[in-house]
Amino acid sequence: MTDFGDTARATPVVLTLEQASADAADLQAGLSQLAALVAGTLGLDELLLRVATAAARAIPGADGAGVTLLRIDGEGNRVEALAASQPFVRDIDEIQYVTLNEGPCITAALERRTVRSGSLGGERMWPRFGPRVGRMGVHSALSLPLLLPGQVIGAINVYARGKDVFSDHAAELGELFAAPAAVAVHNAQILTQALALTVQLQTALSSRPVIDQAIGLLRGRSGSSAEEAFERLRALSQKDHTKLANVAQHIVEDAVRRARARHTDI
Amino acid sequence: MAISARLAAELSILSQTLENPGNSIAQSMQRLSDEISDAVESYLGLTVTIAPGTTPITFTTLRDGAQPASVRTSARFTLTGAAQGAGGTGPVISLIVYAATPGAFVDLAADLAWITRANPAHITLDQDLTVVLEMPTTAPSAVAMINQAIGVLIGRGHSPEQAYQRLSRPSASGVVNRLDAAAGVLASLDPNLESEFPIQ
Repeated sequence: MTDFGDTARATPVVLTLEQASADAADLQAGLSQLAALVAGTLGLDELLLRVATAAARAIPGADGAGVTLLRIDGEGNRVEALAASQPFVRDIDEIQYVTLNEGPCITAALERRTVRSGSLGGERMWPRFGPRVGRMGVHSALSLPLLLPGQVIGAINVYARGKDVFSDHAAELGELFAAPAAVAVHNAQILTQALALTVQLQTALSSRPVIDQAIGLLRGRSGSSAEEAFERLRALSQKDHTKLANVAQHIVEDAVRRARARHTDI
Repeated sequence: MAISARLAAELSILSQTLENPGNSIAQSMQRLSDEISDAVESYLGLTVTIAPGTTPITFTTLRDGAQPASVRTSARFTLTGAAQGAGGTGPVISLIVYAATPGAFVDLAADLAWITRANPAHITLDQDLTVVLEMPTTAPSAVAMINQAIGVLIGRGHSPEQAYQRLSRPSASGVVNRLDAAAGVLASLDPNLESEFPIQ
């Protein structure tokens, strides 16, 4: 495994002009995709999938890539969202997060540094993950932490079937890609959370008026408190396996019908 | 994030109406606050304003120890388009975020405008530098009181429209105060309380 946090250990890379030019074009295409994906409002899952696809294109040698949002706390690693550009990436990440809780992404996120391996089958860092993934015919991995100031929000995992596929140059390109990707992903998280909150509030506030009117009706009939009337509504909802708002709507509509009939009779 | 007892009670009331009350509104507000705090170091707090009709409902919460007087910048995001249905008739929903460092929201505002393809008019900076912590007449509990009073009046034979008109009558001083009128209706249910606004 190579630690890219220590630049003194990085191996000098000599590229042909054509290779450098092609790599630059791929990175530019990947970054363009990254910019384009925020041009329309996307769900977080779709945005992550597009980031994964763009990463696989931007990083030389990649056969597939995945993006994982990871919350690391004292109780372990919690995967909050996951996207993969290819099915085999999803299979590998399932082994990493669910089966073994061990692998390059977890190391990259925990230690906040880029990690890579060119021979997963014999990788000592992940003695259970490496051989298992090697047997799947995937031998190279590059994991790039998604870093914000003071924290890591996840990682991009890039895989290749060949051995020693990811050079220092590939890792450097990957880090160039990961920096704006982290910001895009985090802003999408903020937007997702803001929308989730507003939808919750909208849902609650749209059904709350009729619930309160039903509470008022029940209070007027029985003299009970608001809390007692609400509990009665909730009991009716549970008994009939009907939404609370629907029970309230039925009570109010029934009372309004009777009120209007009374006026008609008069 | 500091959620006052009053706000916690209001959010709890609203959460009870959700399909999954375990996924509480207070938790969602906490998560959003945490996400913004991660992006903007000097973040102080947020306000959500929802205007389903003529009476806006406002929730404000500040980070632990944050003071309204520390606010030096704000950003208001109007989320109406994103949150409303296909019919385009949803309520106007605004998210206002506050920070202590001038200019702290410039990048976030630019990114969110790009992500949402928002009309620039829907994102405004530094127009909400005064934090209103308490809006008693527009809190959910106040709106709930008015709706409960409408329910009482429907039970007494009023149509919903008549009930609303009944609460909208000017008082002797010529002022329309539906909250006081609703309190009077509800107080009339308790024989131990003397109502300021006896039912006629």
